[in-house]
Amino acid sequence: MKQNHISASAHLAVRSGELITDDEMVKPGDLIELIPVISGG
Amino acid sequence: MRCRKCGEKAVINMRQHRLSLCKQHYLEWLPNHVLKFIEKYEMFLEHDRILVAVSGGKDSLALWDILWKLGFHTEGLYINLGIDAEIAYSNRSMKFAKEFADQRNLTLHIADIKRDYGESIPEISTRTRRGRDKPCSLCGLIKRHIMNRFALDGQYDVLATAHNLDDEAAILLANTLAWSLEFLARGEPVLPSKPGFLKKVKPFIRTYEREAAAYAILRDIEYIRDECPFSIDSKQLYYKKYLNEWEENQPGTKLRFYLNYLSAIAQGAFPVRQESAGQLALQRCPQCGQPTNTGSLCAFCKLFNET
Repeated sequence: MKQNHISASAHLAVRSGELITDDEMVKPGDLIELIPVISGG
Repeated sequence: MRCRKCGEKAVINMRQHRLSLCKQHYLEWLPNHVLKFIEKYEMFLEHDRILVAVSGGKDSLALWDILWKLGFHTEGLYINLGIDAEIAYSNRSMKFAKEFADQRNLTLHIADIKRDYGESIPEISTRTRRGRDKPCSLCGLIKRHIMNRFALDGQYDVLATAHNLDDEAAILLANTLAWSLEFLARGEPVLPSKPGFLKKVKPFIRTYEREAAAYAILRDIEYIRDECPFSIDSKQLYYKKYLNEWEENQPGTKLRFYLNYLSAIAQGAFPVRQESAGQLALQRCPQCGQPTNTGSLCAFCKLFNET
């Protein structure tokens, strides 16, 4: 996330429906959903 | 990364607490964490009737779920603002709130400003001077008025909103940069009741926005993920972005910023301009009966009288 300039404080990462921490190893082919957690309402 | 309690695979790492937890222990930890601060700040008691302001977003639904799980007596209030743009924002948010309440057999009250007052937020924004520049301030004014009125009419003991630590830190940063002393005096987790105003509390005051979102996801709570179309480029998002950059370099920055501010309030750094109970009892809006500082129409009623 850091390499891609994505704020880990502002997103949660989900793989196969499960939350993963930011030290998780990601393999080629893994589909990661980054869910923004910051709202401005 | 492993759960500090059981050694299983962690699903969340909270660097500000130096704590990583698995799903099971996180879902136990957050409600207890919230309860600890409900008690610390004396927000409400076991038998109190609590009205929870619900938007259909992650924070308010996570909060309602936690209060429900903790056994508090809660009912929800959703305010349909008529914000649709191209994504049917208000109606979709309302659907999430309704589904949440139905699944748990909870009572959700719905106020609809178009139905009840004749105009939606976009329509009021276009018509009024105040709304043209700042639709978000208009939205805040309308929601505060309706929530307070509904809570008083329903004789609830307390109104709970899901403002989280990130919200409060962003507001605090904005008010500090502007040295808005009047607003700086009002950032506490509990606003006591006074004539015409119900007690307001923020049980998520020590909960990071990321923690509330993680809870909603882990509990399979469906919530609206789209941003309100009016909040794009909002100042609050701008301040949150910078606070998060600081947080990443120095975990706990947001929490320290807010807690040190509370200490400053306790030391009398920001004197509160306090209207007396007598003044508030006398100065009522002639149209709606809610308190006002001026004695003439309140800001809410002025909106609907402006041509």
